[in-house]
Parts: sequence; structure tokens; C-alpha cells
Amino acid sequence: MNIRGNKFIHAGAPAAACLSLMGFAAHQIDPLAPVTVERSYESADLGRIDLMGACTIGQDTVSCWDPEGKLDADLSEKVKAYYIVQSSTEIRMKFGRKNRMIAFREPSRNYGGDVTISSVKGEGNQNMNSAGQLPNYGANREPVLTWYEIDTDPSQTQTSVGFDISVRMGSGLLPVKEGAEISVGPLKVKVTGIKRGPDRKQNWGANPNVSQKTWTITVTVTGSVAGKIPNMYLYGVDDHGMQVSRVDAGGAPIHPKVSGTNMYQPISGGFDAQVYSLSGAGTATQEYSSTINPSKLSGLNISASGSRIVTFKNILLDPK
Amino acid sequence: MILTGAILLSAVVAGAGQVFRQSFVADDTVTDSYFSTDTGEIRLVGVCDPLKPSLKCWGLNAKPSAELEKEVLSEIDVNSTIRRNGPAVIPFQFRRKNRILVFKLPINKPGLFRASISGFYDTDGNQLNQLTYGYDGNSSTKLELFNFHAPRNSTKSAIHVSLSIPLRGTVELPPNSVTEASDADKKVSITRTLLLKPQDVRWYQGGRGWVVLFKLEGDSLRSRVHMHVESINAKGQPINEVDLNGMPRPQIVYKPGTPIPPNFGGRRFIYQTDPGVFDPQTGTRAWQTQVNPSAVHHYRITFSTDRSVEFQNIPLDAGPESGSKTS
Repeated sequence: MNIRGNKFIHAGAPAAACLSLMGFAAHQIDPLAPVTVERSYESADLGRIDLMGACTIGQDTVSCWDPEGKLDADLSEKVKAYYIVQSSTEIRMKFGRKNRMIAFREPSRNYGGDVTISSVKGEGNQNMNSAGQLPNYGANREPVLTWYEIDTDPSQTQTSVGFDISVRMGSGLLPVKEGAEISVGPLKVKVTGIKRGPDRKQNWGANPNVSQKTWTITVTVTGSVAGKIPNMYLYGVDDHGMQVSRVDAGGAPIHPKVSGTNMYQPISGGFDAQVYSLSGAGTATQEYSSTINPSKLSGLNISASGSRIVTFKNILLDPK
Repeated sequence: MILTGAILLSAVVAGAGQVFRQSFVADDTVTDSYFSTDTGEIRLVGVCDPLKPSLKCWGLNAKPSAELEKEVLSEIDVNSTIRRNGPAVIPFQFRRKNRILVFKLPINKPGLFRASISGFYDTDGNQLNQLTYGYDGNSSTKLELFNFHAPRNSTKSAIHVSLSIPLRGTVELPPNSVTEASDADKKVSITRTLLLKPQDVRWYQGGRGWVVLFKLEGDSLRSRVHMHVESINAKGQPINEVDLNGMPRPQIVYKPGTPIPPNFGGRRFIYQTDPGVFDPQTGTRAWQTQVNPSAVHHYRITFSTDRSVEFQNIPLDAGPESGSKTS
């Protein structure tokens, strides 16, 4: 989905009529479809991201310009103030490259939610480090000014930046019994097989070369998002409603001990509790290997999610 | 005597912590060069400003030096034939004087020098970030660059180079009781050996662990004496790998691309705390090990001390008015 112009508003808004409980209408719009914009992106599920401009930072000066290339004194002062207050912050410069900070106003990441910014990437899919943020702690979804460091060839005049937005489409607790079925957002997930084995040996850690009991759980998935089955993530939940992290030799969960102050003590000993996919993502029949005995589980927590890439293009690397 | 417990564990854990800031009293002060037969020559060649449009460098007389610029560029420039790992990342701080300090250091071939350089520090005790590890295969020296931040209004500065100098003599000490051993000028004893409780074992791979408490006697040796300990078996060889009970196991070599050997899993290299400084008040030092003392024939103990060399009057700007005369 390529959009020309200054602003893009994502149509996949939870307020629309035909939405599932988690806010997606699989038959109407693909919430994972990539989007390309120049200045702004907005969706009801995430909020709004605005390109604020780019900056160059020297030993004593900060100079910023807006997306049109016009010098922006307000943005310059904000970034400068940050480095005056955070005086021991080290700014990374790659020698011989064009070093810039690309500034955005974006939703704060300091909140949970189904749709969040998971990473920001520059050209070549390189992760961009956040170099600074104002305010430092954004409550709820209050927008924050964030700038990211980037370096390019000195002759380059424009660049692009991609926001990787994680979109969680639903979650649920699936009892590990043949025939059990739950809805996970737009998907229906059903247990169609449970069998022992194949066991495997642990190569590393505290119990080397000890065979660990393993079960294979088969599930079938119906439904899709824009014709695709999104990635699913699973973990075991014990009868206290907690994620199982360690199991004994028989695959039974080891429960954390509660101390007198109600703080959980770390679990030592036992084996890693793992549930991982054997068949890969996106298929209608999926197999999972579990080191947790299914009969000892309250269920498997399943969440389905995917990535929406929002690319800001034609970002000016120098003022006009 | 092996005691079970954690009487001195807090002291042990505190002793194992890494020190990020150091305070120094200079043993020697120089302006441009330090030489000893233990270290060879440590020479401060000049200073550069990496934030100028093009790199600017000057010598310790503050005179601009095109030759130094050329040498430093060959280390940090993205187009350099020497540099193969992409452009050098040079961290800088806003409203500070950000400089690169250029040193020429001797290449320490085995047996050539007794001492080693353990770090470069500013006067606040912050370790300087090393930018490059220059090496000219045909030379006996190498160019090394260090990142340096100074207050904006300062014109000159100083740094400390910390040297680690081995002390002569090796002590061999059996592990299994309160015992002592002496060489010509040192008397060392083990005062206690403690079995760590499982929850106090800090290394990732689990298993058993012990704390050995050493005591060093001789007032002149207590100050700034570092200790290095090896666990030696009955054949006189160092123990390099142990099982979960701390018992030695043969080293298993894994060649990449071949099947993993059946007993490769669970191998543990020896974890031990860093060589530490004896407490100058008590002369004691706690040391953590994964090697079961029952498998140790003796501990081989070597010692080192440190020495701080201060390089003074480093010019932070080019220009005749800010230069200083150096030899």
C-alpha cells in the first residue's frame, strides 16, 4: 500500500462496524499490510506517528530541520536541552559518514497493548538505536518525541525509516485435550493429536546428556487474516495460572516457592519448559514439541500476532 | 578444614564485583613518554579533534601535524585499507571537549616485557574507550587511539596509565587444611575453605562451588598486591574442566562441522573470580572456584602489583598559544 501525500490514516480502525473482538476485520482489511508514507501515519489501533525532522549534532551545536527542509528552532532547542541535561550521554558518530538523528513524534511504548512499536529500522533493515526521547517517560499513549541515530553515505540526500509494528490479534487458553478448541482473534485453534515423544537429550546446562521427556501436540488452525495464518506463540500455563518455566524429569511443572514476604523465589534445578513449533508458521496443521507433560497443564496460552511495517520515505538528510 | 556455610559470603560477593572507577595515586609523572625495561616505551604521540569537518591533529607541542592526521585517518577512515570493519564509531559528549589521544605502544611479544598495561583512565578514574587496535606487522610498535572527553573550558588535561607488574616468586599451597607456604619474601596461608550453598552459586551452569580464603603476611606485600591462582592436579598440570561435582574431566575438543562428541554437553570451563587485591587491613583475599578441593594437589599462586603513570599537560587544542614544551 503506497500512499502519496502527507498523511496516511489506516482504515483498519477498531471503531469500524465489522470487527472481531480484538479489533480486526479479517475479511475487510489486512492489518499486516505494509504501508509507505512521507510525513504521518495514523491508525486507531496504534495512534499516530509524525516525522518531525532530522538533526545534525556537533560538539556545541544542534541543528534540526523539518520534513520540508526548513530549519526548525523549536526541535533544535528540544534536542539540545536533552543533551544539556543528560550531559554524560555519549552520541555515536561514525567517522567519514553522514551522521543524522531522525526525529518522530510517536506513541509512548510505556504501555501494554495489542499493537505496539517493536523496532525501528533504517535502510538495509538495520536496527536504528533510539538516541533520546522527550519526555523520558510517556504515560499511556501520550506521544513522545523520539530521535534515532542513522548514518549514510556522505553523498546521500534522502533516506527512509521503517517502523516495525507488532500487531497482536488475540490470545486464549487452549486446554491440552484432544478435541479442545478455542478462538484466538480471527482464528480457531483445535487440538487434534497428543502423543509421547520423540524424547530428546539436553546438550547444555545443569543436566547434560539426560534424556528429557517430550510430547508432540498437533493443532489445526482455521480462519486467516487477509488470507494468511499469522504467527502463533505458545507457552504452558500451570494450575496456578502461571507460565511454566521449569519441569521435573517427568515433565511436571516445578512451582516457584513463595517466601514469607510473598516474593517468588527463583526456581533452580529441573529442566527447561519449552513449547516450540516443529512445523513452522502459517500452516493449517501445526505440530508443537512440548517438554511439559500435557496432563499437568491447565492449558497452552496461545497468542497470534504479526508485523505491520510502516515506512517513512524521502526523509531529507540536509536542510534546504 | 572444609566448612559448609556462607559466613563470609557477603564479603566474597562484594570482592567479586567489577570496579568500574579507579582512583589513582601517580607513581610516576611524565609528559610525553614513559619507559621501563618492564614495559618498553609508552609514548603519547599527539591529540586529535574528530569532530572538525576533517580530522585535525596536533603534537604535544600543540603544533598541527599533517603526518599524525594521516596516520590516524588510516586507522579510522572508512576508506582506509587498514580498516575492514566499517567506519570507526567515535562516541562524543555534547558541550565537552571531545578528543582522540594517540599513543604508540610496544608490541609485547612473549617473554619481551614483564609488565602489561591494564588500562587508560581519566583523572576521575573513568576508563578510556579504546577506538582502535592498530598493529603494523613489520613494526615493534603499534598505534592505539583512545576516546577522551574533557570539560569544555579546559586547555590541558592528564590521564593515568595503569600497569600490572608481576612479582617474583611462585607459591604452591595444598588446599586441604589450614596451611601455609613461604618463598623468599612471602608467606601465604589458607585460613578456610567454604562450600557454597546452591543458591549462592552465581555461574550459569550450576554445580558446586567453593570459596577459599587466603591470607598474605608481610606488611610490605599487602598493599596493592594482586593474586592469581591456578588449581593443579597430582601430575602437576592445571585443571581446566570439571564436572558438576567439581571433579576434573578430560578436555573434549569439538571441531566445527563434525558431529558433537557424546560427552561434549555439560562441560564446564573453570569459573573463578578475578585476581584480586589483598585487603590491606587484614591481608586476606577470598577466591571462588568450581574445582573440588579434594581433586586439587596444590594451588599455584602468583602475584602482581600495579603502578600508575600520569601523563600531564596534554594540550587539548592546537595552536602555539596553548602548546606546551615537551622533550
